[in-house]
Amino acid sequence: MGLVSLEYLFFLLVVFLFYFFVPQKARWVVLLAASYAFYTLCSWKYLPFIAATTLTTFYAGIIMGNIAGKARRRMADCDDRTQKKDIRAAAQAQKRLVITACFLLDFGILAVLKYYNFFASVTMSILGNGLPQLELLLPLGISFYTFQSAGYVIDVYHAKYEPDKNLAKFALFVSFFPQLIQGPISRYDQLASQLYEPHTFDVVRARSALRLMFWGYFKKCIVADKLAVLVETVFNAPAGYSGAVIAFAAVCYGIQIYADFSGGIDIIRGVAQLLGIDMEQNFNQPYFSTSLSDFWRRWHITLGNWMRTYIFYPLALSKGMTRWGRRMSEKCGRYIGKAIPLCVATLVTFLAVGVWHGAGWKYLTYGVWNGAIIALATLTGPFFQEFYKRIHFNSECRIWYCWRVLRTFLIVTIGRFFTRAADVKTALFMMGSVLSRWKGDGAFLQTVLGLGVSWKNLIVVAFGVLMMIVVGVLRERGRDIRGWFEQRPVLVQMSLELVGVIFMVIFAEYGTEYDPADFIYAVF
Amino acid sequence: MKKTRKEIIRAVSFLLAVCTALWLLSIPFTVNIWQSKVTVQGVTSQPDDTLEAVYIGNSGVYRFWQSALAYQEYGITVMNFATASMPGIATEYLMEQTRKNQNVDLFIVDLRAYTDSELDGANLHNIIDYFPLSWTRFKLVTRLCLYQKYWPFEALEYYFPVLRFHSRWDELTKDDFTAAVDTTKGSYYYSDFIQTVQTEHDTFLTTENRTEPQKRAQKALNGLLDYCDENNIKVLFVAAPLLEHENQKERLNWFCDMVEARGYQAINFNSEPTYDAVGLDVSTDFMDNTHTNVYGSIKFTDWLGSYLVENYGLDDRSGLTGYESWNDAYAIYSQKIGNKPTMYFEQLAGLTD
Repeated sequence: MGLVSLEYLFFLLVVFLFYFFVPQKARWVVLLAASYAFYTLCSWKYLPFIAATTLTTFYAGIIMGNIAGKARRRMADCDDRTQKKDIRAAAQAQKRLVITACFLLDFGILAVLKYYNFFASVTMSILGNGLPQLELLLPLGISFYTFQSAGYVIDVYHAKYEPDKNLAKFALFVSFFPQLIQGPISRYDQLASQLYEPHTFDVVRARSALRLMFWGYFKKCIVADKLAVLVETVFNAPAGYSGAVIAFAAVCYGIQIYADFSGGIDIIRGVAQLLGIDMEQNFNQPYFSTSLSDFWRRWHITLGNWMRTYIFYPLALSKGMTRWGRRMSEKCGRYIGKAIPLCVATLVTFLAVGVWHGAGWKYLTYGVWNGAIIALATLTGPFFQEFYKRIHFNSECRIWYCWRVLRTFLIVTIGRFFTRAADVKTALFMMGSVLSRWKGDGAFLQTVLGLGVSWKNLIVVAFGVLMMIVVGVLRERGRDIRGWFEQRPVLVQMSLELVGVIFMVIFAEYGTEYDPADFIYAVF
Repeated sequence: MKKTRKEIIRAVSFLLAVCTALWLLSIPFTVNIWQSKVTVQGVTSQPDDTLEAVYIGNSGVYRFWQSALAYQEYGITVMNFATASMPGIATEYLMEQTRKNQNVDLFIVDLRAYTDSELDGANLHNIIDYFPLSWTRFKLVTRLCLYQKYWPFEALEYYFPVLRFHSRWDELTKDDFTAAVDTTKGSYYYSDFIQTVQTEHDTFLTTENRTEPQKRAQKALNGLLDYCDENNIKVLFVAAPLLEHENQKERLNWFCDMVEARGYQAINFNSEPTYDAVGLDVSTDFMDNTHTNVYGSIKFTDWLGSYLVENYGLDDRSGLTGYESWNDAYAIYSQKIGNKPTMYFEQLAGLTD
């Protein structure tokens, strides 16, 4: 049951009616039942995996909470400072043991299901013979809910908040159905309380939620799914196309993946909002970023936050790294001593980002590419700032801003060759083609029109992209589009909504003979 | 409370506006299956009370009965209301739609519509998509979708065909926005119909055996008979001839018995006496195993037309004011036929002189 299906909308309607029909206090139970029903409808085979992750993280939290509670009580009864320190250290060691066991289980499941075959192929290529390839099930949203649960356990470990004492409520936090397909990776302290608290039906909010969903479907069905055919055609057989066509397909892929992922997230956030729950933003006009690090603060924000909170900062601020930085400062100067540990932490973090996206060298390369560029920018940034100052260059001017936006888009697009192409070799070949075979045998326009998308459909896509740009610019300028819309006269609102619906009915990609392209991030 | 009411009115109005838009959009977006379009739009757009009878069914009707020829021969106005593989379950709704502006003396129903067990979505679209927007259409769609178990999600494309054919937006032409004009009153004159003679069979086989049809087909026919009883509708059931499909012939025999047992008349063209009376010749009159070609259809129309006049008292309306379009229909029909191979033209001339 995909997000772009009548079944999903019908399911949503049933959940919505039940949710607001039952007494307020029991509404979270409806959400839990709906979440497990949704997962079962997708495939009952997924259930044991999400249940295992739920149970391990819940009990890990409970055990760590108990350890911390016991330690607190013992410390309260004790006056000796050294003894207190010992109690704290012992508790910390016990908690570390619990969290390690929990991670071994949760990430173990993820590692086996998602990375085993890659590992087996690597051992095969190195040793000549090794582990056999297996047909493994990859449960829907496993990367999302595993990371979300891991975030909770780490926060409990750091005593950021008390562990959840109610297994059913915690199960809802892990399995909340809108986010199962492609996130966002929510934080416990941001989402959980909203899930449990009683919500009342608010018409204005519901209308706003429906509009958000509509915008999501617009991006998915008007832009992403139409471009999917073109992108697939070129990336599946790049040897047959000129560099110009490959570059065009790469740019289209950039648009497609944004429309696809952000469209899906808009639908998900709209669904949650309909039920009275605000989910975190996952995008903030990423293609207006002026640098790659800025891009990663605007693209897949929840994953970026997760990586920053649970990998980058702990690593960059770890004792070992601080010591190493100090040593580097003594040898190479203060700046290098500060920058190098940051660069290493960045590289490791982006390696993790790459691994999160999938199993394969191409994903690792993707991570390295992003990490290396950001690390390089960290290292060279101050030099460039100094250089601009010396030549009296205004780096805040509009033209320079546009160039930086364009440059970031190019860097991001280059990185995406790795994730979209079949493998690293193909990605490099495609990049090489862009540089060395710009002009192919056929005319560019003629070739593009032969990529499975008619020129009329390309115009529709262009219109969709234009709408996305306009909305992006307005949001970038801080305009509240939905608020503005809500203030128009009712008839104007309804007329515009009707035009929107008609536009979607005619031009969107859907229907019985149409197989909707899977959400790209649903497979990560 | 006032705010809630306002919001409900707003939501309902919006839904109604969306449904209306979808209905209206469905008109041009529907695929132009010319034969279905001209037939359905043709019969439903006839001037009030100008039809004496309507002949309902599937290709067992429009590849046999030539309305324009029957008018030329006997002055009777009997039009086809038939589309490819139309399921019998739709018959009741076609009758209901017809009776809205036609006070017909008789409905003729081809029983073959009840023996086609394999149906697909296209067969449903054939009859639904050109049907006038009305409550009858809503009931027809609901009944057909339930019958075919296209429910609930698959049904939407039948209520609003634009949902199925929306991707045609880049191929729409002027024709899609205009209603089909049936200049020959549903007569059939396409090239394969005129040029083809089947060679697979050389004898017409008959059978006296009976095989019980599917329960749901029986239920559908019983439902129609109940409807006709309730509304006092005069119906003549026919079973158009087939060259093979012995099992289907046996089911048709069973159905003929069934309708006769309920007090209705049935003419089975698969029985030897009727087949011989019509004068059909396997070697020249069939284009395939289940349909006559132009020559067979002329014989069939001639025989059935004469039968309707004699037994059901259909009037000769030729020359009356308001029926000029029927004369034109025949002129066009005979012209279309006349441009085809000489053999058929001569045969036609021989028959109509």
